[in-house]
Amino acid sequence: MKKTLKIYAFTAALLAGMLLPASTAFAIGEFSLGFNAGITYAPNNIDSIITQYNGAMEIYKQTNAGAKATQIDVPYAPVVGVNARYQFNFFLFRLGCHYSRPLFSSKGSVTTPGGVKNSIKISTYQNSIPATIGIIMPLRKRTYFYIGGGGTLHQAYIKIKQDNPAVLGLTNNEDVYSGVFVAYHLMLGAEVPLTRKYTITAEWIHQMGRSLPLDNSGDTATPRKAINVQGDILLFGVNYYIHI
Amino acid sequence: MKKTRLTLILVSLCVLPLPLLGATANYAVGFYAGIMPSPGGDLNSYVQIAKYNSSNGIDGINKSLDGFSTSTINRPFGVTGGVEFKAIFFDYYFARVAGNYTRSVYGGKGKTVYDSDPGAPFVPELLTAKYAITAYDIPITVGLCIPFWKDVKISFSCGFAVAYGDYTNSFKSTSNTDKGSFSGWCYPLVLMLQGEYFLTETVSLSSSLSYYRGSTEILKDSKKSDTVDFAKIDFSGYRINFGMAYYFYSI
Repeated sequence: MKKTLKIYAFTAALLAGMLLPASTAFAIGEFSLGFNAGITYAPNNIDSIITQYNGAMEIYKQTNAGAKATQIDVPYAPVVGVNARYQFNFFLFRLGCHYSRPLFSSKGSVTTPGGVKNSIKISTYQNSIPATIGIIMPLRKRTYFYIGGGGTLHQAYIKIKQDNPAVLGLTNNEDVYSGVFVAYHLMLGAEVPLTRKYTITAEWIHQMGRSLPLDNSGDTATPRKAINVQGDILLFGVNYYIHI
Repeated sequence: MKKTRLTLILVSLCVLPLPLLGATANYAVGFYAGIMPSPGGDLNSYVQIAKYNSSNGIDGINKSLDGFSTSTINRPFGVTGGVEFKAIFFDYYFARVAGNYTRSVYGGKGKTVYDSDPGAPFVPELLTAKYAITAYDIPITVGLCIPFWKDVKISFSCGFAVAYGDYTNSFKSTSNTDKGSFSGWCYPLVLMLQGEYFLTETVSLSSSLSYYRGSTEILKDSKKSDTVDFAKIDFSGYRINFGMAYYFYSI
C-alpha cells in the first residue's frame, strides 16, 4: 500500500512539474485538452494466457476420445481516455489517462467424455496514465507529426474463473491478479486542425513492461504471476486548444 | 462465418467511398515489395514442447553437444509484397486497402540435438528442423495524411487485417519424424507509417513501415500420419516496403 502511495505521489509530482509551465503566463507554447477513443488487442497481454488454456484444452480433447473443447477468443478492447498536452516549440508534453476493457469476457470450455464441463472465463481491464515527452515535426499551425516516449503508471487486473479446473489438472476455481506498477511506452502521432481551436489526432502507443510477480487473490495465494502490459493502443481523438 | 465477415468487409469498403465521390478526394493504386523479419514469431507448437524440449519454439530448439554437428536454426526471414488502393479525402484524411503476400525465404532450418528418450538416461540424437510460413492478408486502415511541401506526403494510419496463414514444420531424427501443417484465419491489428515522394504530379515512390499484432486460435495439425501437433499462426511483426503509386488526379 505504501509503495502504491509512493508511486502515486511520484507520478503526481512528475505531472505537476510537467503541467506547471502551462499554468504560468509566459504565453509561449500551447495548451490543449482532449478526448480519445480507440482500440487495443489483448489488453494486459492476455493472449499468452489464452494460448496456454487453448493449448491445454485442445491437447485434452486430443488425448481423451469424446471430449469437446471450445477455444477462448483473444479479444479486441475499446479504449477511452482524456489527455492534456503542452506544446513548446518542438517539444510536446502529454499526460493521458486511458481505460481499456473488452466489451465481453473471453469464454471457452472443455467437456470431458463423461459430460463434466469446465467453463473458463477470463476478464481483464487496464487503467494507464502515460506521461510522454516528445518531439514535434510541425508542418502548419497545429498540424504535426510527433514521436515520443515516457513512463506509464498502470493499474492492471486479470481474473480467470473456472467451473471444474480439475479437468485440466488445475486446482483454483478463481485466479485474480491485480497490481499497480510503472512501465514505459513509445508514442507516434499525427494532429490535424479542424477549426482554429479544435484538432483531431491519431496516435499509436506501444506499451512495454511487466509487474513484479503478483499474489493471487483468488482461491489461494498461488500461483503468483506477473502481468505483462506489452501491447499496442490505437487512439483517435479531438483536442481543444486553450489560449494561454 | 469468417467468409461472411470478409464479404461484408469488402462490400462495405466498396460502398463506403460512394457518398464522398462529390467531395474533394483523390485515389491511387500502387504496388510494393519488401521484407518481413521473423514472420510467424517463435513458431512454437505442442510437439516442440512435448518431444523436443523447447517451450519457446524455434528460439529454444537450438542446442548443441560435443560430438554432434549442429547448425543454428535462425528465425525465418521473409519477403513481402502487394498491391494497394488509397484514398485521400480533403487533403488530410486517408484510407487504404491492400492485398499482401508474405513468405519465409531464408533461415528456419538447421540441425540441433535433443534427448530422444526423456525417461531414460540422456540419449542425445541429431535433429533436423525446418520451419516455413506463408501469409496472405488484406489490411484495411484509416488515418491522417499530411503533405509536406509540394512533393512529399507522410501518412499514418491504423486498422486491422483479414489474414490467412500457412505454417509448416518438420523434425527428423533417427528415431522420430514429425511433420506439422497448420492453416488459419485471424484479424490482426495493423499500424502503418508511409512516406511518399512524388516524381510527377500523379506518380510517387513510397516507403512504408507497418506493424501487425495478432494470431490465430490454436490450430490442429492437418497431417495425420504422425503425432498430432497444435500451434497458432502469429502474424505479429514489422514489414518494410518500397513501391510506387499512381494517383488518378493531380496532387
